[in-house]
Amino acid sequence: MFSDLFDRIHLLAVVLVLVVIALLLGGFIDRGDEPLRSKRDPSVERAMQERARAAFLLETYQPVDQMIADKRYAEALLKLQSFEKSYPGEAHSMILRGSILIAQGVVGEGIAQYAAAVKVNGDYVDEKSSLNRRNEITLLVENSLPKIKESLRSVVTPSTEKSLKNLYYLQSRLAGGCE
Amino acid sequence: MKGVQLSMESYGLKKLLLATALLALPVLMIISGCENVQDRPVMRIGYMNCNSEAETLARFRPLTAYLSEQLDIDFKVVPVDTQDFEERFSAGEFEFGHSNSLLYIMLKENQQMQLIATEKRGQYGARTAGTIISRKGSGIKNIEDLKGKRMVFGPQLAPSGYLAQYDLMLQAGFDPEIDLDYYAIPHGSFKHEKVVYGVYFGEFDVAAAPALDLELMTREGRITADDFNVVAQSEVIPYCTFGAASTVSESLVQRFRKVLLDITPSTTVQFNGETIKVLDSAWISGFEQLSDSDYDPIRRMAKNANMPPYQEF
Repeated sequence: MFSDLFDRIHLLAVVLVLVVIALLLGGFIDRGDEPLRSKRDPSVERAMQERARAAFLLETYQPVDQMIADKRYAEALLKLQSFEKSYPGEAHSMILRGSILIAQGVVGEGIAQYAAAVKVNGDYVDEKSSLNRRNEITLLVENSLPKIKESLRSVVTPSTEKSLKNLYYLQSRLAGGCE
Repeated sequence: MKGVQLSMESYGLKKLLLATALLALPVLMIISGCENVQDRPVMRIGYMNCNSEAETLARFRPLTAYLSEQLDIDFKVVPVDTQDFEERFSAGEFEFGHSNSLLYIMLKENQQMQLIATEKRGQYGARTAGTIISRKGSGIKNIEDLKGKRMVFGPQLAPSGYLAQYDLMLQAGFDPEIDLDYYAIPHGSFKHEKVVYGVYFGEFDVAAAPALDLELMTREGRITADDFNVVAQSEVIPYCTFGAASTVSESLVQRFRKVLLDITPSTTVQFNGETIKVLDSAWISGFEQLSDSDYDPIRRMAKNANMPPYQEF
């Protein structure tokens, strides 16, 4: 039946494959660190991922932070525009854009950016996070809220109403707790 | 036989009456429709041309159709060259105007234009800014470095493409008329893009570029943020503005403003048999109600740069 050399080679290959499968199933061959990893605490995994994510964001966006510190706002906004292409919808772009706009007196748009960022990533109001910006956001709410309320007393416009809604949202996120 | 003939005649008469009625119906409908259109008051909105008349018409016809629909006024689109805007407005060629913020100041000071709303576009929303840019690696990093350099500006009445930069230089004690080697303004349309490319391709050392155009060109991948140094940036100023002649009633101004402020990205209008998104078609992201005092930075710039409406000879 297996007198032909070619048939014998085929038979040998099939036997070899079956042996390897059996060994794998029996756990005799090392499959990397997968079993080890699965034994790790998921909370450790999660914490590592969060820290890695925060470290990545802080490192990647560092040039923008430097531009903001140097008050090179137009350049910083352009750089954010570039990041928007690589990381669309990233909250860190929003939070930095918010701080640039507020620094330049563009209050309504700035508040909207802060609110959108916090909606996507709550780390910005978490004082334990390395992305924490609680103080900055608290200051923004405390300074802007009375002004927005005052302006609404004289003229009600959709954009000021939206700003008020966004400020209340930020205020409630800063307060935390059950909603 | 006579009876048959009579019934044939009556049958023919009925057919004739029916045909007449069928023909008369659409005619009556058209006439009544025309009367309705004629009943609506006719008003005109002058739109400042950014690049060309064709572009202005394409951008603003759907928005104008929406305003007509909402306010029950038959608004006509009047494309206007920037340089002719004040003259044509003062001649009463249009009751409403959409122009840049410097033109608004000119019309406010000279023609008592009423502020309606400010257009939102780009990261600054209803505001914008002017920048002076140089090519990365050129070594031009601040205003002092502009001495003896070749500069290209945007159109003369552009608040963020000419006025803001001219003012920035004067504020820094740099007189563009004396301290630059040479300066120019490009011909034709798309001037803001031309000044950016003028620096990009090395034709000029520095350019007066609106922050919004840099943003749009970066977004579209035509330039990158790393191509340029932003040598200086102006304070933020209001963007393009809707205004009304002093003869327009306060109530109509308020209704006009409300319609603009209530437009959302999903607002549509039926235009030429199509359903069109009003804001998208006009390249606008919304409208905001600013106060006249928000335009004070432009007034200060115009006074400092000796430009209209405060120009003195």
